[in-house]
Amino acid sequence: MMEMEEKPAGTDDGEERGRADAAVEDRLSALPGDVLLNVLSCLTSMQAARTTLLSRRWRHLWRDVPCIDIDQREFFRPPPRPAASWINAFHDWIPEEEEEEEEEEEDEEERREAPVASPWKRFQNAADWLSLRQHYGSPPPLEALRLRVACGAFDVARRWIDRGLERRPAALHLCCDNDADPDGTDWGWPWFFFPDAGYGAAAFTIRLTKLRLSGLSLTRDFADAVAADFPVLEDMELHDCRCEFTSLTSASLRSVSIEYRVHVDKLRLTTPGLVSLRVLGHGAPPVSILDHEAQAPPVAEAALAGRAGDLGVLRYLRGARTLRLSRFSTEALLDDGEPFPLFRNLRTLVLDECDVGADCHVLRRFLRNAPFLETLAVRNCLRNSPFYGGGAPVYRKSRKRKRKRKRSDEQPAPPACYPCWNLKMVELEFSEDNALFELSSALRDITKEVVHPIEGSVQDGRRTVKIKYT
Amino acid sequence: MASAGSGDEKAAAAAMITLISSDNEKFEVTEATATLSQTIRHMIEDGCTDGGVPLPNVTSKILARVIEYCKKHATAAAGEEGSSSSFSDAAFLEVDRAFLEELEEFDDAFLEVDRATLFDLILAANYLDIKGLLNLTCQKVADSVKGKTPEQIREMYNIVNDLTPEEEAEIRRETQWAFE
Repeated sequence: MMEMEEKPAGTDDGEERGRADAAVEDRLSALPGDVLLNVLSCLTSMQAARTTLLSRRWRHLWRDVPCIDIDQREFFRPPPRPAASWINAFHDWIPEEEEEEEEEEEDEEERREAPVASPWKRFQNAADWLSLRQHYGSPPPLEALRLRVACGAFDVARRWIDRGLERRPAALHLCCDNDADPDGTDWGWPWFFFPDAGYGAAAFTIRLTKLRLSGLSLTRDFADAVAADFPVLEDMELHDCRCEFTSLTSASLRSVSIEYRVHVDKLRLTTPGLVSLRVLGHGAPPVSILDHEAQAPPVAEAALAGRAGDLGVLRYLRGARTLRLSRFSTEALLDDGEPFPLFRNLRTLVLDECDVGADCHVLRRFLRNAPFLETLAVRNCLRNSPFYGGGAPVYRKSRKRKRKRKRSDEQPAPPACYPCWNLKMVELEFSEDNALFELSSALRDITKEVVHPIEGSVQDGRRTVKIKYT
Repeated sequence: MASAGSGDEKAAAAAMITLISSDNEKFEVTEATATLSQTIRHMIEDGCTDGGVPLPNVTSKILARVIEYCKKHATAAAGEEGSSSSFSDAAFLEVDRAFLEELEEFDDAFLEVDRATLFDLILAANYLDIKGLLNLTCQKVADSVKGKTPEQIREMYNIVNDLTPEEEAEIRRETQWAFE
């Protein structure tokens, strides 16, 4: 039953393989219907719709695919058909919608004017057709609604979103392609809002567990909708969005990932079930997490950047297993005014471009207060060696701090020792002219035994060292 | 295998399950590995795995590959144990970037099989209800038809076109937007 050939199944040498393979057997069509629907769910709706022409077996399959996946770029790219008929198609339509779009996308539309006409019509027809293909009676809910459009087409897509949401998708991915300046005008950053907020909207979003948006403007209205109309939303990813809301409330959210492109004052989270938190990007705002009945949310993994720590966020993350902090200042790491938390669960700590303080005293606190740490990575956190005359931007500030510390911390100077019973690896990344002695003396205070030889490599003046422990 | 160490430690304590292929070959696997299959998980829960689990739909060649997949992914799951277990998005965990990359490489290499094997793997994953493997293999098939015309797909998979010209014309009318 197994064929003899051992060549890997290529995707582009179809003809050759078709003959060698099982001669006449059609194993694809023979797969169970559920499996074929799984295959079709991996395709865009356009690609899936094209399979209706394969054979009778395939003709109606596509109607049961529980996903709608529209990628606008597909409509503007010649389909894999004889080129002539494609070009002819361009001359058939100069639809009126074209003018509206031109206003929105001035320069770009001018460049593509002629070839755009027909695809536009098709693109819009697809929306109508997709909503028509609903089953009579109550349509079955969608597993996923995925849309990717150019920002100029977002108004067309809005119609689809509204209709798609009527099918109560479990996942919604909207990607609005734009290269607009996030700090510029509103142009190029379509506002995103849920249809009929406050009027039956919850019925559309009642099954939504996963929300992924990019290239959109999200205001307080969006955050209000999340708070009110998304009873089971667990996973939210907002990348490359203009997030203008400053607070986010949800009883169901378990995972929040926001990559900020514009500066916002703050982000207040009232998310008692939060397990994973990522606040990244150069615009990352200071984050505060509201305790729910004096209980910090059970955050197990967090990745935070820049100003995210400025209001003192670590105290809420003391239960975390994984912390990735980048560009944190010493103040943010120390969460001034609070006793340094005991990170009882911490297994992985990654510090990237953080200011670990004079004598690495912040790093030392982590080593002392994270008894079960397994992996530690310290990347680009070191200052330049004074011998090289260089200085990191934080140099002056930290020097002042150093003197202050000397008085308070160092004079009694009890020999520190950090058991770190479970430590397996410390990974260091630094530039060759960094001062290493502070870091190495901090690491020497780890009582666990180092496995020799220590691995190290240099690339472009950057040194990577991996220290393994017994 | 690079991750064998932690797998063995677990194995020492874990119960072993015997899987029996259609050609009567026996495979001993840990419970953690076996329970990636929902079908086997249910059997274990119902206590009907004593004396081995016969899998009459899976040949030893395919079962060996399925177990290889499950072993690798069970190790991955064990690494995340104790953290948020419900997270499917492994990239979120950032537990160990190197390991995630390794896992991805493993998956890629795992899929380097001839088409007949791929279909056997799909059927086995479906029968054993191993979601990750089923999605992985279905994605591979989907990738192979991406951007292809119906004619090309038919040729690639030996699909016989049994549509009458009238039916074909009707389908083209119905889904005109998807063609041109």
